[in-house]
Amino acid sequence: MNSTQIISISSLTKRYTLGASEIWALKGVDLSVRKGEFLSLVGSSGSGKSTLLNLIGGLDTPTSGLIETPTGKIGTMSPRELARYRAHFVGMIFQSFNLVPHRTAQANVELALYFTDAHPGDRAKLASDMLTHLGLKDRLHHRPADLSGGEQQRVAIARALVKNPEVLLADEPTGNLDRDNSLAICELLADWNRQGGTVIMVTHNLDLARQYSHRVLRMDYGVIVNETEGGLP
Amino acid sequence: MTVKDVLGMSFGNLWRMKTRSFLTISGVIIGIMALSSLLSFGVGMQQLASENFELLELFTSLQVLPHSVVRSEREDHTAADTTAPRVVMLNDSVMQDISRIPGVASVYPEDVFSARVECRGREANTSVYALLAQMGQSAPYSRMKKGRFFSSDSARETVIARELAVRLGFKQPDSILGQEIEVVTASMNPGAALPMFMSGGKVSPFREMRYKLTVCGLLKSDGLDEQPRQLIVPWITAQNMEKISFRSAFDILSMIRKGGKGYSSLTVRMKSYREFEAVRDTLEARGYRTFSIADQFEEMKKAFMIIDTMLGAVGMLALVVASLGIANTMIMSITERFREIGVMKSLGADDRHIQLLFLAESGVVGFIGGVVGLTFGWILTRIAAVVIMWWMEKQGQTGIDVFAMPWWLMLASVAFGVGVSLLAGALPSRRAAKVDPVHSLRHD
Ligand SMILES: Nc1ncnc2c1ncn2[C@@H]1O[C@H](COP(=O)(O)OP(=O)(O)OP(=O)(O)O)[C@@H](O)[C@H]1O
Ligand SMILES: [Mg+2]
Repeated sequence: MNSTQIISISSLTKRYTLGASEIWALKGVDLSVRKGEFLSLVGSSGSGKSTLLNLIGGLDTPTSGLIETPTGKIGTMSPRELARYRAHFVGMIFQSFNLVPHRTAQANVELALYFTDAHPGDRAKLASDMLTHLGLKDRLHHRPADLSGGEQQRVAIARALVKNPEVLLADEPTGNLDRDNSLAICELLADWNRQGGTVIMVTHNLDLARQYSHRVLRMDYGVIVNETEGGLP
Repeated sequence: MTVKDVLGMSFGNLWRMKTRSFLTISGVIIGIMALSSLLSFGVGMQQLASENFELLELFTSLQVLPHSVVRSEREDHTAADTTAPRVVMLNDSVMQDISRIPGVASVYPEDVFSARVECRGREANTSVYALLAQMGQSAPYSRMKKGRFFSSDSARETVIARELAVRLGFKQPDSILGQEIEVVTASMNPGAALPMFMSGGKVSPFREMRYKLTVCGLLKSDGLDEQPRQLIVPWITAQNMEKISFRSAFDILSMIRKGGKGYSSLTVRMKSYREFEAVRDTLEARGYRTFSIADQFEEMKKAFMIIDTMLGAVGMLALVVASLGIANTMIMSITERFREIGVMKSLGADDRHIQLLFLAESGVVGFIGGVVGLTFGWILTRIAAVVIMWWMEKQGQTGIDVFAMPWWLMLASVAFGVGVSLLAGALPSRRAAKVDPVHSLRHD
C-alpha cells in the first residue's frame, strides 16, 4: 500500500450460506482506493455492491481475502478492533437513512460520538455544528418522522461525518430521493470530498456516478468487470 | 460510552415506553413487596424472641443438673469406664470447681421441693424453689412485676408468680403483696411407722409442717421461661424447713448411696454470651448435665431459618413471575429496536456495548422495582403492625411490633430485585448483542 492509497483490497470473497445453498456474493475483488478519491460503484441488482461496501465498512467479515487500511487489516482484526475501526475510520449512509426514530436529529448525530473518544460534554455542540453546516440549523430537535427524505439523509450524513472519518461509504444514498434532493446530497458528498475526504458511493444513477466521481466501477456477479473515468479530473 | 450514557439510554427507553415499563416494573414491585414484607415478619419475630431472651439474661446462664454419666455414650471412653454410671453430686466442692471455670461469673445453688400453699382458705400445690437472696440482683429477678425480691437468705418472705396468685383466688394478683401465705411441707414422720402399720395404712407416714411467709414480690411472667418458678423462698429459710427435697427419684438414690446431700441444681452465670459455649462444653466434658434456654434458642433459630426460607420462597415466587415479564419485555424490545442495534453497531458499538445497554435496562427495571417495592413493603408492614397491635391490645395484651426491617434486609431486597432482573435480562441481552448489523440495516 503506497502513500496515496487508503484502502487496498485483494482477492476478496464473500460467501453466504442459506441452509444448503451457497451464494458467492463476492468472487474475488481486487481494488485500490486512493486517498481523497470519489469512487462510484454501479451494477445490476444482486451484483455484490452492498456486500463490498459492508465489508469495507467493517460490518461484515470476508470469507477470504484482505482489506488493508491504515488502521489495520480487515479479516485479521479482532471484533473489538473492528468496532473501533467502524467508530473512527469509516462513516456510512444508506438508502433508507437508518435514523433512530425516537431520537431527534441532534441526538441521532450525537449517537455517533458515543463510541468515539470525543468528550461527552462536547457531543451536543459537535452535533449541532455539523447539522448547521449541512443546512439543518432549524431542524436540530425534529424527529426523523417530521423531516423530509432529503433532510433525513442530511442528518444521516451529519451523523457519518461528525466523527471525522477517513472514508465515507454511501449505499445508494439517493435511492429514495427525488432529482433535486439527489443532486443536493451528492453536492454535500462532493463538498466533503473536495476537503480531502474519500468517498465510495454505490448508485443506480449512472449520470450522478459520472458527474461526481473520479472513477466509476461496474460490478457483475461478484466481480469488478469494468472501470471508467468519471467527470472529475 | 460512559456509565452515564448507558443509564441515560436505559432510563430514556423505559420512559419512552411508559405503559409497558410501568407494567414490567409493577411485577418487580409486587415481588419485592412480598419478599421484603414477609421476611420483615420473619426477622421481626426472630428479633423479638432474641431480645426477650437477652433481656432475661437467658443467654448467659445455664442450669447444672445432677446426673449419672453413662461413660459408654461418650467418645473418649476407655474400656474400664463403661462399667458403671458415675454419680455427680452437686455439692459445695462441685460449686467451687465450676466457679473456677474461665468465663463463669457466679454459681448459685437451687433447691426444689413440693409443697401446698394456703392463703385465706384457698390452697394450691406447687414446686417451691429455694434461691439465694443475691439472685435478686440479676435477671430475671431484678425486674419484678410488683414489689421486690426477698431481703435476706433467712427472711420469712416469699416471691410468688402471677399464676399462683390467681390460683389462690386473687382476681387482682397485685393485691397478694404483703399478704401472709402458708407453705405446707411434708416430712417423714418416724413416729408414725407403728400407727400406720396398726391402722392398715390409714395413718400417714408423713407429717405436715406449716411455715408462714409474707409475700414481698410478684414475679413477671412472660411465658418464655420453660418452667416458670411459681414460688421462690430464701435459701436459709428453706433449709430450715422440714421437708423431703427432691427433683427426681435419682436424687434420693444418690443420697442413699453416697450418704451425702447435693443441691437440686446449680445456676451458672457467664460473664457474657461469648463464653457460653466454652463453659457449657467444659461442664459437659466434666460429666455435668446442663440445661439452658440458649441451647433451646439454637433449636428455635433453626426453626426460624425454616420459616424465613418458606416466607422467602413465597416472595421469590412472585419475583420469578416478574422476571418472566422482564424477559418478555426485553425480547420485545430487541424486535422493536432491531434496526437501532444495527445503527449503533455501524457507528462503532461492539457486542459488549449492546449487551451492556440491554442488561442495564433490565437492571434499572430491577432497581426501580426494588426501591419502590421495598417502600411499599415497608408501608405494608407498618399498616399490618398497627392493626396487629390494635388487635393485641384489644385482647388485653401488650401490643408488640412483630415486623423488623433492618438495613441489611432493605439492601438485600433491592439487590435481589436488581439481581433477578439482571438474570432475566441476561439471555435477551446476549441475543441483542448477536444482531447482525448487515441484516438489520438492509433496505426493505
Ligand atoms: N445476508 C445474506 N444472506 C444470503 N445472501 C445474501 C445476503 N446478503 C446478500 N446476499 C446475496 O448476495 C448477493 C449480493 O447482494 P448485494 O446486496 O451485495 O447486491 P447489490 O449489488 O447491493 O444489489 P442491489 O443493487 O439490489 O442493492 C445477492 O444475491 C444477495 O441475495
Ligand atoms: Mg445493495
